[in-house]
Amino acid sequence: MFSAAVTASGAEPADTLGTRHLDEVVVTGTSAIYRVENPRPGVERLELSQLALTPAFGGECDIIRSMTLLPGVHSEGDGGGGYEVRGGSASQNLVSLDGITLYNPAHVMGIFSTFNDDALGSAVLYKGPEPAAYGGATSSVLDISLAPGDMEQYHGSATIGLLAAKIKAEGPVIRDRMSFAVAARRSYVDAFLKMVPKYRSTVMNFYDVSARLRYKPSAAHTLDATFFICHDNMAVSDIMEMRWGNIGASLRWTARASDRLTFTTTAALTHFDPRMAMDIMNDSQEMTTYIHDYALNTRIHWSIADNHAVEAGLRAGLYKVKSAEWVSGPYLERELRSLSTVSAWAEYSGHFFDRLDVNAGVRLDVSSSLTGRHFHELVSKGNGPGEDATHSRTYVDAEPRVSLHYVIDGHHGIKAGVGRHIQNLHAVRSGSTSFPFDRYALTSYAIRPETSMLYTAGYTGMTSDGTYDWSAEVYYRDMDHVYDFKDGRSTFSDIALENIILGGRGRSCGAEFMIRKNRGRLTGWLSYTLSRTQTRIDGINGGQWYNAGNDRRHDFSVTAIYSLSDRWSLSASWLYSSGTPLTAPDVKYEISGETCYYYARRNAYKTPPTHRLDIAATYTHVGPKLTYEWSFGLYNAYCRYNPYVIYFEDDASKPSGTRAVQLSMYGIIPSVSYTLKF
Amino acid sequence: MKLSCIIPSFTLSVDTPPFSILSLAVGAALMVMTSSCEKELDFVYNDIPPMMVVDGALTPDGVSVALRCTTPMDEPMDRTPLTDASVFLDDVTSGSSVALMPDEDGNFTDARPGVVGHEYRLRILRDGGSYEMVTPMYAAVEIRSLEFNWIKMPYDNVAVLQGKFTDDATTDGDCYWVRLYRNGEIYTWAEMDDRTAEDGICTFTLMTSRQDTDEEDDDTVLVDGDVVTCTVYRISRAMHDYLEALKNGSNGPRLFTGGVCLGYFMATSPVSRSVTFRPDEIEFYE
Repeated sequence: MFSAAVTASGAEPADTLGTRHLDEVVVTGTSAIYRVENPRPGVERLELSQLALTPAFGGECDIIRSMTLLPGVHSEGDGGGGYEVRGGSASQNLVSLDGITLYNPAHVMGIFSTFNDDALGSAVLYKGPEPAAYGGATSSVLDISLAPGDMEQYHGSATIGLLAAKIKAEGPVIRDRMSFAVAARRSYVDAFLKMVPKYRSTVMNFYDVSARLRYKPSAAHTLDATFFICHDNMAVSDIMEMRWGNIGASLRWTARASDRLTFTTTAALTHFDPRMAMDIMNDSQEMTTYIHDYALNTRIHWSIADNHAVEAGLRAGLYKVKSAEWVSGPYLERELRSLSTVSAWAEYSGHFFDRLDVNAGVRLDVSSSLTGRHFHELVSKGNGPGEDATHSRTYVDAEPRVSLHYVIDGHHGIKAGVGRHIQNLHAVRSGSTSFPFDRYALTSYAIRPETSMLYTAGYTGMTSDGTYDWSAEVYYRDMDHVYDFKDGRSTFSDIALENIILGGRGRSCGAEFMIRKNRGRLTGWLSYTLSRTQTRIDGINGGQWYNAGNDRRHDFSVTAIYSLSDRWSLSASWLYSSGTPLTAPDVKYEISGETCYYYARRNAYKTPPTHRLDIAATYTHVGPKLTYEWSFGLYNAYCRYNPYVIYFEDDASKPSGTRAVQLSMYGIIPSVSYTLKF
Repeated sequence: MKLSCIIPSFTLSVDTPPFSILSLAVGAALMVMTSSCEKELDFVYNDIPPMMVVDGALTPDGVSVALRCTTPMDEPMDRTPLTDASVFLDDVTSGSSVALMPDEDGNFTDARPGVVGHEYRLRILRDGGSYEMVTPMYAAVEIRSLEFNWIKMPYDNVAVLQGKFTDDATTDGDCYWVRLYRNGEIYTWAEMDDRTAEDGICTFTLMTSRQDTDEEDDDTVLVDGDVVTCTVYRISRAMHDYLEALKNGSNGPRLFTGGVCLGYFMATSPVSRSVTFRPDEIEFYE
């Protein structure tokens, strides 16, 4: 079982199981040997200690934003809180916090992620074939664990920054038996807004709280309870309100029957509940949606011998998804869907001839759309989606996943993998980025599970002392049953989603390169991704392949961290992304005096490229009892206005009478924060 | 900057009445977040062949059909009428047909009024192509009220115009086109249906000018004394979908069978009501 801290020394036992048992992992630093020896392609263990040193937006360290510095991962763009992996969309990533699935985990429409870095213990991103234990995501899995509290001593920290303040406390409840760790963060942007007369009635705030309670009644048993809540609120007096957030909890029991046999059982639930309302001149309208997710998951790990192990598990889940409820006076429309899922999986991990690692597993998923009164409801003023939509339907899918790793010598290896993944929750977005009020369709009679087949191969290498390591991977992903709005349709067009969406195929291919420097005063990494992502949906662009909304040809980033002294650390990162596909008009015409546009093809144009330099400096004073830290940062240091929205409008001052306008979200953003730890 | 100009172009557009005021919430939030970083792009457009555009309406005052061509994005709007076509209006219900002739402005017209309840077909023959669209003639609605209020938005106070008009309570799915004119010039428009009608009354809400006129574009600002006229047309579901698509940055369904052309033909009975914009007399909505 892999449960030890990994260090750069390479003094690590053979990692035959990848990174599945994450709860015990404490990330201690860069680890070239881990990356070279990890048998799975496309696994990125996020080094949280490094994360704290990289430049951060508004001084808020953000695990999601930092992940976008890795190859194969890019952000949705300014204002998008999600990340996209190897041609997938943000909604095709599973984000799991101690077994709690989180939806749209972003604050302030995507400016910050909902993860308070102070609370995190470990995080692993699976870009390649996912371990068989994971399901429900066709693109990637981000498995995050909160750090458990110290069983022996109390610790605390408090940070105050320009945009938010956060605190953390941890310590024993019963020494060596029970510990707690709790972290909370609250923004105070609205406090600044109140200083500006015209924004005085504007409310814009967020908070998140994460807590973990660990109880070890005996050496063989561990109980972990995790609670997480994040909430955003934007409002103007009593006129307008937008709020959204996740609330989730999990309870995990780990029982070690012997040195070779471990049982882990997790019960988890998530409620994601956005609400938007407006009341103008006694005309009130409200939209609510929700995703309610309940899961019970148990797994057995059996280490047959030193180099051979088997894991198997069973998962039962229930999704209840209200894709929308619209209320205006007596008017009401609502769509509620439910889906039950049962998954069984098994995976073998073996190490042969001191050179070959094999991970081979299969996951069997059975998903059934539910039609009972409490599970399915369609209140529609329009034409319903047809009688078929009310029928139940059961899908059975197998997801085989295989990874191979051949060790050329102690410092070089090649990897290959193939995996099939399915997903039953489909986000249907009006925009190019995630939005809390996106509509979600569940697999149903008419909507089929989304499937993805991923093929990947790569090479990893390192210098003998681990100062440098590098990797190159290529991938090809084939997706089926990818859904998008029909031309001209959007969120409010019809309560019955089947009426306004179309399903089709997707494909993505790419090559990812990375080189890291792990030792010395100057550390950092450089990553580059070349990729192409396309979609084909009958009814859109004549049924031809076209560039997907998340297609990004080039992604490049360089991150450097320089330890100036024991107290001062400097860091900088520079990112470049080529433009993303844009649907723009080709010709214009006038009807009834109004200019209208004609779009020959969806996503036929590209936005300007995005690039940005972020810099940061951290001063840390370590005292005998107290440690304090000053962090200074400049986000977008050379004030590049990157595209957020591009639109077209009449402009009589132009010879053509038309202009294209780009709105950007950020200029240069300075930050400063002060942290006190004990 | 006028919000209603921005929202249709946002990729996050949700400006689809009857949920227009929810779209205002989204638009207001986005406006706060992007308020300071705007720049014009030097955009290079693709070349595509021009297409014919039909702008046709049959009302109780007669029929008028304008034919034009699309214009490349980087050229001034080409309003030259196409007169080399044969245009016919068929009353499908009565079986009569009339050939429309171009007037001095190049529009194909006829003064005979449309009859509510009759079905009409517009036929166009041009350059070897044939284009047809059929629609029923709709009755007029009655505009019951038109009122401005100042509404507090995160970035400024905004003059919001609320209108109420009658809906045919005997039928569901009725669609409407609400057009707003400033001193006779088109100002903004919205399509809607009767899903949120209450007691036979449809309500629409449109954002107009900010109170801080220095922050408002010249072409969208309303000034003291401007006459704002609201015209309501009942339209078909197909035309509603076409207009909705335009708002959502798309082309929408093709309304004409036969060859490829853009635009529409509607048969309707428009009604109008005007109000003079007096910013000092507008009440604040609390």
